[in-house]
Amino acid sequence: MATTAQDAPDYTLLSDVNVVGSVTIDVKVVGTVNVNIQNQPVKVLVQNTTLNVDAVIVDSRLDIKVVITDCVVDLKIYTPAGKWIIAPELLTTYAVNPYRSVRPGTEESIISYSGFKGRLKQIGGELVTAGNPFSIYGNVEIRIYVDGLMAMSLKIDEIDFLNGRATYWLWTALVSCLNNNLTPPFNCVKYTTSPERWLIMPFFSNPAAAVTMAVVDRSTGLLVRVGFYLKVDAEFQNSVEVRVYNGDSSNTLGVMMTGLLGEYVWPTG
Amino acid sequence: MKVVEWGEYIAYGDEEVRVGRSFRVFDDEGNLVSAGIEWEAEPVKPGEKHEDAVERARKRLREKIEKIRERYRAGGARP
Repeated sequence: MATTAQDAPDYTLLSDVNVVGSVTIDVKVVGTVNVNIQNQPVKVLVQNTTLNVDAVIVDSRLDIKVVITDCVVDLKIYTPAGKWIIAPELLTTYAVNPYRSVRPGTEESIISYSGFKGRLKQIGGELVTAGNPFSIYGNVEIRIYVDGLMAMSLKIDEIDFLNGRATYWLWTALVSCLNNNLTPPFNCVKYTTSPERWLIMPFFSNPAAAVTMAVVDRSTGLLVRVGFYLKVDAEFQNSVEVRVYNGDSSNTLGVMMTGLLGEYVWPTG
Repeated sequence: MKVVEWGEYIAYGDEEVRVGRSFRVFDDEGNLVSAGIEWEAEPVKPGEKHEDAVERARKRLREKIEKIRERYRAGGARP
């Protein structure tokens, strides 16, 4: 094998260069290297080795698509300029609806969003019978439409299930105690006397969903006011809508609600 | 500075609709430097469709966003 310490002459390569065998190539560049690759794929395969990249990229917009598997990534980004570091981050936004009536047998939009990719993170609110008592617990559905399609439809009793059905059993216990002249259970207090209504405050420990309070109408034994929250975490591409369906056949429902949403910083489409 | 409108929010009430518009602010190099959301509430007149009130709120929102855009364009901060 020939080696030389002399400067190599300038070469213009007119054919492919294939390096075969066990060869160590140590290239030290003192001057400037310009690499111009246009409309040609560049593939670099690094396997079973350590890749050290120490690069400074300035005055450039760089789009990198990287697939990382089966390794540990320790990524540090220092931005002394104070510019935002943008991963798939959500900017939290919100919407609060004023009181909206939902007539019997109808579904109404409460909160809607349209635009870019995001997430409906959480909703919370209060449902109230606008007139006569009826079963809010079993006849009302919270419906989530993701990109125009219904993704979720939950009744209040189903939200209560997510918290171990605490509201149902406190409500049942209260009605039983009142009917049998027993002391009302804990977390229950008379709310009004005419009509007689009781506020019940069930324990709730599920951070994702719960019925937080309810008002029981003594004469009918029905819930006439219900508070709830639900961590939805529904991802959408460009739209999401919260609607409420009133399945009762003759009574109007009142709805108040707050929605927490998140917008991704960049659109995907 | 460039203000880019993002998503539209609508919150429905019997007597009022609330329309929100989120926006991003990018500097001249395309870096995200700020974000925000503006809301407008509009009464729903008796017998009126909610969408008509939404449209009026949208019109006022567009004017509000335009003022924000002009302020950034002039190099100032958000109004």
